[in-house]
Order: sequence, then structure tokens, then C-alpha cells
Amino acid sequence: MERGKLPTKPDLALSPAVPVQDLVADELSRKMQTWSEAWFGAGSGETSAEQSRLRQRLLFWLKRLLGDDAGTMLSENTQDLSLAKSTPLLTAFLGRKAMVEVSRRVLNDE
Amino acid sequence: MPRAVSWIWMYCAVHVALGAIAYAHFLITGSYQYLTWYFVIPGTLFFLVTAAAEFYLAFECRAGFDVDEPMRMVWTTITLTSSARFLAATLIFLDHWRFARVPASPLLVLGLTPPQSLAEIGEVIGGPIAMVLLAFALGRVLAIQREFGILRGLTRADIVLICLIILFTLGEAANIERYLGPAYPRRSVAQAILWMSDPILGFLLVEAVLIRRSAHRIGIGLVSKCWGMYVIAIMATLAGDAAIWGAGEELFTQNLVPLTWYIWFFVAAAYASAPAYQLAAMKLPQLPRSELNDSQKT
Repeated sequence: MERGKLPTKPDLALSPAVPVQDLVADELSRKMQTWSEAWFGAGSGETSAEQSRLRQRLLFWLKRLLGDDAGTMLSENTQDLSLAKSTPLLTAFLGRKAMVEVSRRVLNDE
Repeated sequence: MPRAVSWIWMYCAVHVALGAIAYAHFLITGSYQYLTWYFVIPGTLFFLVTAAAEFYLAFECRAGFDVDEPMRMVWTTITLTSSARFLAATLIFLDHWRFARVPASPLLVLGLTPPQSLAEIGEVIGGPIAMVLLAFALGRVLAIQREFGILRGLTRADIVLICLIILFTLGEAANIERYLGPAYPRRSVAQAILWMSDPILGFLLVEAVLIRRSAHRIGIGLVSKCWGMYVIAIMATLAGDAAIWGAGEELFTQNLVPLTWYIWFFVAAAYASAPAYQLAAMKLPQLPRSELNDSQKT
């Protein structure tokens, strides 16, 4: 996932009235949202293209490592499938070290 | 198929092909000369190599889990199981070499004579002791599977199977009781322990059936294949045991009996393949993308 830089100076030309703290908080909030969607899934909300790619990669690893039906076993609706839901099962059968690698591949692979 | 699994089964295929030549010679000439040589030298070597591979792979799987993880205990027990099988293969190997009087035998060179009971001790370690350890490990796997809701309950067919195993065990116990009478010579401790093989195997079979059901539920992935290999190994052990019983009861012709001995090579290969699948699953996420795509094609 791309790591963005926090703004150091407010862009006064664009919004002179917005204080620096608000810009930082917005950026942080956006990052938190992206990470929580990556980890917990988008839930019932609309899924982004990135979210859908993450889920596809997670499904790929679940199928390769555990079995074809591992995804549906974890969540009846594969749209709800997330790293948070898969982590306990994958960690139990592969170990923490391997699970760290799986998470890295799910989050970083293109 | 993971590389280690391919190597194990390729070795098994080459070894069995060599055995087929020895068997063909036996069928044509009626002589046991090459068949005996095949089972005593390449045969025992095969058990030794596969047991060593199984031990190494199980040890690597164990290292992949932290001390506080439940599967660490499972793989520690499986490592002990494989070390018991390796020790048994070594003892039987030594016994066979003594029996075979191979000219280059290191025992003959050193002037050592192993005790007569070597093979019997090997059978106890590689049989009931290894089976008890495996039963404990599989029991732990079932407990973990139940925790995650993977484990399915017993079906009517499972209950029938368990009842049959209990009946079979009771029948065996009745048979053993017959041999304990004063008319028969006193049995050694090793033989008494070996009598436990069939009931433990029955128990292992029940565990194997339950694991097979869970694997069916989750689908065929590398981890499922690992436990599937244990199921195959247990089923093959049962087939081997049934063949020994069948040969004892003279159910097979003399030409068919040696053919049943080949089952044990498949048992050893299946036992070695199981940790190979688990290790492949643990190492797969570390593979670079190019190799991952290659492994996907195979």
C-alpha cells in the first residue's frame, strides 16, 4: 500500500480558512479508513476496486493454502471476506510467521 | 505438487519399478533370490530414507510455529512419531543386514553381532509407540478443527465403522486371550505391546475419517493435502495389516503374497509426503511472484 506523506504546510491558496490540524486529521482519517477496509472489509458498503483486488488476493491464498471452500467456510458471503476474518484460521494452521507473509502478499501484491 | 512431494513419489515409483523386476523374476523362475535381496537391501534403505525425510520435514514444520501456538505441540508430536519410525527403520535395517550377511556390511567389518531382538524392538517403536504418538497429534488437530467449526459430526456410516472397529478389537482380544493359556509359551513384553497395534490402528482410522470429512468441507489446499496424506497412510497401513492377516489365513496364493509387501512402501511415502505438504504451505507465501506462477501451473 502506498505510504503518503502528511502535509507539513497548509495550502493557504486553496483553503485559507482551514486550520492545519484539520488537514492532518482528514489525512489520518482517510488512511485509517483505507486500512480498516483492508483489514475488516467494506462490510455492507460499496466496495472500491482496490478493496475488490484485496479480496481476490485473499481468496487466492485461502484456496492455495487451505482449500477451495475455505473462503465460503469463513464467510457465507465472500463479499464480507476480510483479512481479519481469515487471520485466526490461517495462523492456526500455518503459524504466525507464515501468516505475516500472507498478509504482506495480500496487501502489497499487484 | 510441491518439489519435496514430487521427489518422494518419484523415488517411490523408481523403487517400486525395481521391485517389479524382482517380482517378475520370482514369477518366472520361482526363486526368492532377487526378491529377498530387493526387500532386504533397497527395501530397508527406502524405509530409512523416507523416515529420515519425514523427520527432517516434520522438524522444519515444527520450527515454523511459535512455542505458544497449538500446532507447535502437534508438530512436536509428529516429529517424535517420525523419529520413532526412523529409529525403527534403523534397527530393522541393522537386523536385515545381519540376516542377509552382506559382504560389505559394516557390522561384519567391525565384527559386531546385533542382538536377536533388534527387529522386534524396531517393530514396537515403529508400530504401537509411533501410532500412539500420531493418535495424540491427530487428536489435537481434530480439537483445533472443532474450535474453528471445520469439524463435522459423525455420520451414521461413521458410527457403523466405529462399531465394527470395536467388534474387531473385541475379537482380537478374545484371540489374544486364547494364546495366553498354559498350552502356549510365555510371550515377551514386546509381543504383548505389538498386540496393541490393531486397536490403536482402529482408533487412528476413526480420527482419519473425521479429518477426511473436515478436509472435504474446506476443499483441497496444501494444508488439507497434508492431513489427507496421513489419512492415506493410515488406510494403507490398514490394508497392509489386512494383507498380513490374509496371508496368515492362506487367503492368497503363494505368488500373490510378495505383492502385498509392496503396500508398505506406499505407507512410508505417504507418511513422508504429509509434512512436505505442510512445509510447502508455510513456505509458499515467501516465494517470488515468478516462482509462484510456476508452482500454480504444476
